[in-house]
Amino acid sequence: MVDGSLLGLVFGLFAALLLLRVPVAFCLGLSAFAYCFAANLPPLVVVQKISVQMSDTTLAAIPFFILCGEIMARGGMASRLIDVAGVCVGMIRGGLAMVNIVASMFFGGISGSSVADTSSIGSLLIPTMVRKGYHRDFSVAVTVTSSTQGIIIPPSHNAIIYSLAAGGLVSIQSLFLAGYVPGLLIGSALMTLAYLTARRRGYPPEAPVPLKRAAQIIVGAVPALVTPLIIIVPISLGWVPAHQAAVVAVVWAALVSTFGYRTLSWRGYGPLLLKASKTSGMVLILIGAAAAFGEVMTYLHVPSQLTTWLMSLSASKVMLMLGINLMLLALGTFMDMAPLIVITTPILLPVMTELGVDPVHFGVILLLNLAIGLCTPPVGSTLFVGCAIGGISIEEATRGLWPFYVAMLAILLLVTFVPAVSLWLPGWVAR
Amino acid sequence: MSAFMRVLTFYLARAVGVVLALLLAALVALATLETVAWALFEVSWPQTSEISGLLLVWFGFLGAAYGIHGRVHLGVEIVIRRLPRPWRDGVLRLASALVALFGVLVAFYGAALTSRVGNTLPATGLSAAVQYFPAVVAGALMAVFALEEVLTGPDQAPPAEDRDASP
Repeated sequence: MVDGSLLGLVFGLFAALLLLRVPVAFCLGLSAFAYCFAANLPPLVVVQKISVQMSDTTLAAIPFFILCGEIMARGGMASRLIDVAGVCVGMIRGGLAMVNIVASMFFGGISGSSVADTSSIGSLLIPTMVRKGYHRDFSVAVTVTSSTQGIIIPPSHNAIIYSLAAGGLVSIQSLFLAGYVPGLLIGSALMTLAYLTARRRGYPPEAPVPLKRAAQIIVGAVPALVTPLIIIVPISLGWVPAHQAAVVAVVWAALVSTFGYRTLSWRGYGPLLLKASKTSGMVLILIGAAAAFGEVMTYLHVPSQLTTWLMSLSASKVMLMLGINLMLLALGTFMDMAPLIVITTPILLPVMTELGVDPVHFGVILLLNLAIGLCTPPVGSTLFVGCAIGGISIEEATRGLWPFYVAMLAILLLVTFVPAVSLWLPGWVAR
Repeated sequence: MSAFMRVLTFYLARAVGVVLALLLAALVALATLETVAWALFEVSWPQTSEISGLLLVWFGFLGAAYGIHGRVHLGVEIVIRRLPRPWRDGVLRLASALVALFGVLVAFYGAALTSRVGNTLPATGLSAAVQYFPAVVAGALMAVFALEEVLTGPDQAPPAEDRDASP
């Protein structure tokens, strides 16, 4: 069989399996097995590649970050962060929307998951917003879009997945630092939009928190507020690898929740460990299977051929980057984030490198595109969670989401075409 | 047959769930020990990193199998949502059968790999086969959990607390 027919077999089978609703990890694995059978390669290599990839200790950061987010959500740290956000921005018009966005900024900087953010902050704030007269579609839209900050603002386990999918060539430290400015820009854009909407619809500001109470709230939330620093500072300064910083955050969150806030008993850890295990297991097999599939793509010269083909389409870097953004946005509307990171990174990173785009910069572009995809129908896990909490249909939520999509797309264009937005901070720290 | 499978997978999933929670706790303990030992005493043991890697392979494979029972694996639903009910059920059973096939392949070739490996791991001196043995166990579990879905059909959803959202 010639390479062309092997290519058709692998990608045809992969697409057919996807459409049959075979989970993505198994689509990747089965396609890799099919290639080995067709190309007379020993299928042992698929199992070997998955096992070796999953034994990489950097991967331990993923279950640790997920567990840390679970402990913080169940252990009362999330609600304290909401209280702090209330002190900081609650008195602005549309105060609860502002609190929602700023709380996502704080909490996202810990959990790294937009679904965890939406379910923990949304379940507390959406009902309160609706009770105070905010429209349901607006409340859901603010919650869903602001939760994407968790994917961009470090620590983000999706950034670790990207780093691994890039073959470990992209430093996690640089990726984390590159996410700060874009994440803050998203937060600022959403806050501006929420303020303008609040003025037009007459959403009220919250009553200012008395100074003494504000001080109590902030002091009480200090253990939650320092958690991102516990993770970020040691990684940024190169003291420890990502998984060790993540485990320190897990231990810290457990100590604060169990002995400080006393909101989690030892018995409460069983379900948390199990929940984190389920989500992590799904991500780890995805990364393992993607490594096997990536090997197949390398055998078939897919990245190099795609690079040549894309470069022949247009000489304009701007057009190519716009095209790649559109493709990622389109893919993000019907596929979840982690599978897309592991599938698209090995294919698109060589193209971007050929275009002269820094791999760290591309990481932020990729994460931002796919984060927007999490908020868009027909498949958007964050959107689904937000709609379930808000008790509205996806169609109703989408009506409220349109202005927020526009704001996020504007930030995406800025991040894409102004590399300094992502690269300035890692460059400055490296100096 | 399907009633037997349901009971079997229920107990298997509970057992795997306990093992997963213990594995994650062990990973946390090991990484904490590694971090504290280095930060306070500048001591590091190459064995801890190797054992962490082995635990991760067990954790990843067993988590993948458990995820089949808990239906947490991410897939593309855009097509099957538009299918009429009987077709949709048929397609979902077919998808589960394909997942079972993947489990069988992983278990079979995992066993072949385990039996062929002759070298040892550098730090612990354990046979490198221990790195591939989780594939045998988890592959078999994947096949059993997916087969249960083939037999019982897509409507027999697991308990709500067993399901989860994606990251």
